[in-house]
Amino acid sequence: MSTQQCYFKSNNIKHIDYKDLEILRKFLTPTGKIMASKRTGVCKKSQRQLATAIKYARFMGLLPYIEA
Amino acid sequence: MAKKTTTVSLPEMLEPRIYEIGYLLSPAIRDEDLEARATELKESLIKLGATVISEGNPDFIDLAYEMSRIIENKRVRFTQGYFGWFKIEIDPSKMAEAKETLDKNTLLIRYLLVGATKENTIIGKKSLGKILKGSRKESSPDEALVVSEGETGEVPETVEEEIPAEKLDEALDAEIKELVKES
Repeated sequence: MSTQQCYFKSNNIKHIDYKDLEILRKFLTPTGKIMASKRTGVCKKSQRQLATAIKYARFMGLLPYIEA
Repeated sequence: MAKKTTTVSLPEMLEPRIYEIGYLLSPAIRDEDLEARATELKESLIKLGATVISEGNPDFIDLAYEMSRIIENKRVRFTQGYFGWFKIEIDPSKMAEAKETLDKNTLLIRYLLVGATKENTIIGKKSLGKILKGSRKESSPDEALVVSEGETGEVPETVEEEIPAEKLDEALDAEIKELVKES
């Protein structure tokens, strides 16, 4: 049996909300870049959803584009 | 093998869909008027036939970066704002009108219109207001927005009240004496 590595699949999260900053921040580097799925183990589908959610949050000023 | 094709009929396309609107309201709005402004925004969409499914009250937040918007031919910069959201069910054909009404609203710094689901999708326990807590008490609403004509919202603190009148008189007398000596 293989254990699921994807954070979203293992927690049964089907929709990633752009307002959910607690979760989104887990997948950002200290400089504010989106972490690679290679590093986090997030599956491809969730990685696409995650990237979109982070970009929405950035547009609304909830997350920075670059953190100093 | 024949490829499967999915066809969407016209009535299906015109069925009401669920959208989420996230908005940033100007920090210049007073706390008392905030609720009224938020309901005004919703009612402008309800007029177009939308039904509100769920909503999040506007929270005062510090923006992650400075935003600017041109209002009445002046570029206004914002560092804080009220972030709120609501989910609506509306005909996709009415969305162009909805966008127009949102564009016209001068109190909106920005808005985000995205497709959504009926269910609550926020898993985190902390509310947005708590995470991005704006320092409302320390700075007045006018300080959060800056008009780009070199005017800054910063007002120097008045020091005169703290210094006793006697000391001020002594300092003034000393300065006058110095000026008299020089002349």
